[in-house]
Amino acid sequence: MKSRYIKKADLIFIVGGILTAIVLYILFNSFLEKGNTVIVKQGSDVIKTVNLDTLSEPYVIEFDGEYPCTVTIDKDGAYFSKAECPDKVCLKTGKISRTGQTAVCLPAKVSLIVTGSDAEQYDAVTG
Amino acid sequence: MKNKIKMLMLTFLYLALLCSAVGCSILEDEQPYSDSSFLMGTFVTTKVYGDDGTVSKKSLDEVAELEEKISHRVPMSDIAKVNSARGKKVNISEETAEIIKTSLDVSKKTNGEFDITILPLTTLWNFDNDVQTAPNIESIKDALSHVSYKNIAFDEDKKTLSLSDIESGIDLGSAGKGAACDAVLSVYQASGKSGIISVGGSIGVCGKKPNGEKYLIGVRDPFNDSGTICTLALENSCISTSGSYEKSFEQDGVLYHHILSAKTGYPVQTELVSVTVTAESGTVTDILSTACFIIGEEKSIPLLEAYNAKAIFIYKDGTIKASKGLEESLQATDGKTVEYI
Repeated sequence: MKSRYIKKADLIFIVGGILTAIVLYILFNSFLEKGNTVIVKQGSDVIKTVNLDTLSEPYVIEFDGEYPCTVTIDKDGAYFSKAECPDKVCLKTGKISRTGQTAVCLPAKVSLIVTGSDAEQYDAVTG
Repeated sequence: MKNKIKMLMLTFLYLALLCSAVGCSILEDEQPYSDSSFLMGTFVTTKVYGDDGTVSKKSLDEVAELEEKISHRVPMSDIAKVNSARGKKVNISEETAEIIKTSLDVSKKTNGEFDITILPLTTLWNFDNDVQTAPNIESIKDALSHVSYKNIAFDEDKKTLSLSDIESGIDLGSAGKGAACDAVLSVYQASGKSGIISVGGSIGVCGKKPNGEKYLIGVRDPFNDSGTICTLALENSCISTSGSYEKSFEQDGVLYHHILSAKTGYPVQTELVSVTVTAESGTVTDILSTACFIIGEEKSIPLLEAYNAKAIFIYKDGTIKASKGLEESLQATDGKTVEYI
């Protein structure tokens, strides 16, 4: 028995629409989640913005001043590789790579912030 | 005609599906505008949804302005003026007065175990110094003799403040970061935007995230520098943590941390490693996290109740205790158990 309202062509049209929507959704998401970026700041000034996916070899930034420190960024993340500050909290933080993670050297006023489109594990950390 | 209507309806349906697919992606991935700076001797981060940078910038400006009023290190701040006024009354701002009011109330409720006239001691210990050593007992006794909240004369109506002991000094280090959260949350509320502010260990959240979820705050694991021991889901509230791991040094096998006792002049002797407090006001959470760390769990219960605040106590042996009422929002990580008190 033939349906009065929905024909085979209509069904193909609807299923096609749904499939196209799913494909677009996946493509859109994969486009957004292309990779994380590390922002390196000294005080309030952005010193460098590095997309981790574009790195073929480690990128190193050296900071002079009262508390010299060195930041190393590779495709797996960013970290303070050297620091002459008294507390060494920045060195203890280790490598950061997930969206929202930060590594900070308070005495040198240097910060590393990972930004990206993937969901953050936490919105902030207290302590 | 019938076919035309059907084609039109199907086209609408098709477009609706495409729009919802793309729309869902955008909604799921909406990112807040974020900015950061070094203020109040710490790292300050803003995250505001739907912001073009205006609200974030205004927020950081607010924190900088507050620092100019309450930091004892800023020469023309309210507090620096009071500390150097040699007993004379000093007119203070509304913001400073609010912090003094809460601080004094907590000082009274803790019988002076929490005390904002601790500057002679914090200066002596100087945990920010490049080379750290424990001061000798004589200098600690001398500094301690000038520490008492009873030296403070505060007129709430006239907004005046003075110190009766000219060697005494106010240090709002245990309240300022939380007060900064309050100031920024007022900016967020006025803008009608949802966001989060992080000032060192103090955090304030305004509203919920655009996807309807509460903000998820990790509580740092005192035993693992880069980990979290539990999480709290929050909306329209603040949270602060005081921990003995924050600033410390070791000398002759003894670990000296930065939370000083206003009764002994030495770092507080306790089995606690950190106390996290959540409440509506950041000033309250900042002050109470320090006060509760000093007075311990048992004495903290009535203090927390007085401020409608809740706390998480973490002990050296790894025990986690939390206020009743946090059961739904608190989630311990790695299968750890929480005892509710």
